[in-house]
Amino acid sequence: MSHRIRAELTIAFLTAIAGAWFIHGSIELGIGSALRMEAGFFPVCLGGMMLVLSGAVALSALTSTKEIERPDLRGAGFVLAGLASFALALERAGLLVAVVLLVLLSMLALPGNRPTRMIALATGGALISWLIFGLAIGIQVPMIRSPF
Amino acid sequence: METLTSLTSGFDVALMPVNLLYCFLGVLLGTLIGVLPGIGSLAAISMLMPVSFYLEPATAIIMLAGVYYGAEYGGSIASILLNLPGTPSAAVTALDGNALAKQGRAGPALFTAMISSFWGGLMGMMVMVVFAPWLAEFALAFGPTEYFAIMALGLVAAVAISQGSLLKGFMMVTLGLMLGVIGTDPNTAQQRFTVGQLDLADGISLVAIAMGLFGVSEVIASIASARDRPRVAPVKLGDMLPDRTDLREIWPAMLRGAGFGSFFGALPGTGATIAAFIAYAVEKRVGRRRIPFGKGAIAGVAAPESANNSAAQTAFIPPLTLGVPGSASMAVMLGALMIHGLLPGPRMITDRPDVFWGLIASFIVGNMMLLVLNIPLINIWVRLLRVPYALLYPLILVFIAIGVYSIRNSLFDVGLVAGFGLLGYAMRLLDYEPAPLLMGFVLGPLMEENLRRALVMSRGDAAVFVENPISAVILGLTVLIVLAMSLSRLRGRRSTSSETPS
Repeated sequence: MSHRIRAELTIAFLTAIAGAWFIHGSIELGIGSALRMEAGFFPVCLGGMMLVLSGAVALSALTSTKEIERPDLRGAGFVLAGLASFALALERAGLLVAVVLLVLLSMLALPGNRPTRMIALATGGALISWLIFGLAIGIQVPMIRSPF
Repeated sequence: METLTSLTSGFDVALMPVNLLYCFLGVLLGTLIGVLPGIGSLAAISMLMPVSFYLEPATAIIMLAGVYYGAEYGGSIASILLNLPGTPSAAVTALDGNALAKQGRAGPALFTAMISSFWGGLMGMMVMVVFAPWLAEFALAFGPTEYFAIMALGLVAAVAISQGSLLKGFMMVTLGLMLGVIGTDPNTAQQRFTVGQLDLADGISLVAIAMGLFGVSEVIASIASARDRPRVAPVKLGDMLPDRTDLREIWPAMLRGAGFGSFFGALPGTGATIAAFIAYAVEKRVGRRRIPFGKGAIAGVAAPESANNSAAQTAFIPPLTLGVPGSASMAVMLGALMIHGLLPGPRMITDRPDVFWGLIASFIVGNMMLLVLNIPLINIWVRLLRVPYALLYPLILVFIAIGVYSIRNSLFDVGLVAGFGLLGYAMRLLDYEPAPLLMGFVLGPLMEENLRRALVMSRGDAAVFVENPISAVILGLTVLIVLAMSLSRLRGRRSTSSETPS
């Protein structure tokens, strides 16, 4: 079985699980009737549609001959790590530290970036963020905060 | 006469200093972001939407609209100079635009794109002035049954224009509808599928989905090719003017392109990209050219550029008059309108004429700003394209992260952006289109509400959707589109398999 078919079947399986979860959750919320729709009426229809579509996509995937493009795991990993570090640092250490971490980690996604360039861009990014979001727009988040 | 009076009062709104300033900012930032390859008008609007929350509704919408058509124009610059469209609708401009640039005629190509975009924008605005009030009046007769049918048509149209398989398109629409359900049920106040997370009580943030699916996933996909971007030569201002022969070919192409753009821009599910492709295809068949299309025909730049900017204006007709977006970008605009407490739909012209007519008047102002701005700024855009993408993408991520956080001061939303970014990237690899998901997400709550009302009014009888004549026609059209799409894809598959050697 090719990588593509395996990936397609995995997606179809996950969406089928989502559809089944929606149906289960809708029953707990209460479905009601067409005249008196309860909170679960619309979601149960969507869950049913998703189950049917997942099955159809799975069947159609079995005949797929297209190759899947090789995913850029390094790129994806460092970009997501950058966003995660931003979220973790923002309210603990302030916006400027969060921006520096985001820039540094996301630059690691591209091999060969020089440390001097990374530090320069991280500093520039922090400065631009302060000017635009801190001074010009005035968003409600501290620029620098002690994590202790 | 009444329309003229309304338009005049619209100019009173558009020419207010604060609105002029934000229109200028919107157009400038939209062009700047549109110039960057791969970041289209949708990502541009999503990134700047948080800024608009601090503004008055009319000012906010004028700015976001400026971002939208500014980005559509900016996309053509990278298209011509680098053969890397900044927006999908600029892809067809690259065919002849980049060929002209390689022949040393980048200046006339860029100038033609500017003039054609301006003309297209003006035409689109005139169509809006004439048709939007009429359509809004017609739509006042619409009830929940008709609205449900139109939304179903809009979702099917979104699937129709997606490139991949129909099944995957419908799956994305359904996923979008499911994501739209998450949150508090407005009728019973019950929490639906929030998995105990308080942050999900108000639903998933539209900006988080849009920025994740279109911004973060684009960054991840582009990183691998970041080092391979071609270099751009500077453009001399003096060399920008086309010659007389060029002008003879440009004018008719511009007029025809604007006609197609105005029509297709207003149809749900089509928009600037389809308008540009159709305008190019028709122009290719019409008349003789000094240079054939694909080899540097100046009309090959004029027609799609006029079409895509005209479509960018008339794309506002369905969301403003019917409350139904025709494309993913308009879905985000609709979301922005609702976040500002505006109810898009036929009542908007009567309830908020300042926003409606102020927006239309701002199209003229904004398009003039585009024209005046871009002649002297052309070399700045060229220099921007010379900045390595390796330096740009971390800053794009910074804007996305801060932008999404600033909406609800929620770190959960930053996590959502990352999650949707990963989902969007996986979807790209497996040929799932994100636009139908976004349309489903925005329309889902509205569809549920209209379905509920329609069934209450008909005492639970679902036959109301076919007994109501307008709804029956719209649903019939929806079914026809599905059948036509299925047949077309089936025929495409059969011809591919018959061409494959045994």
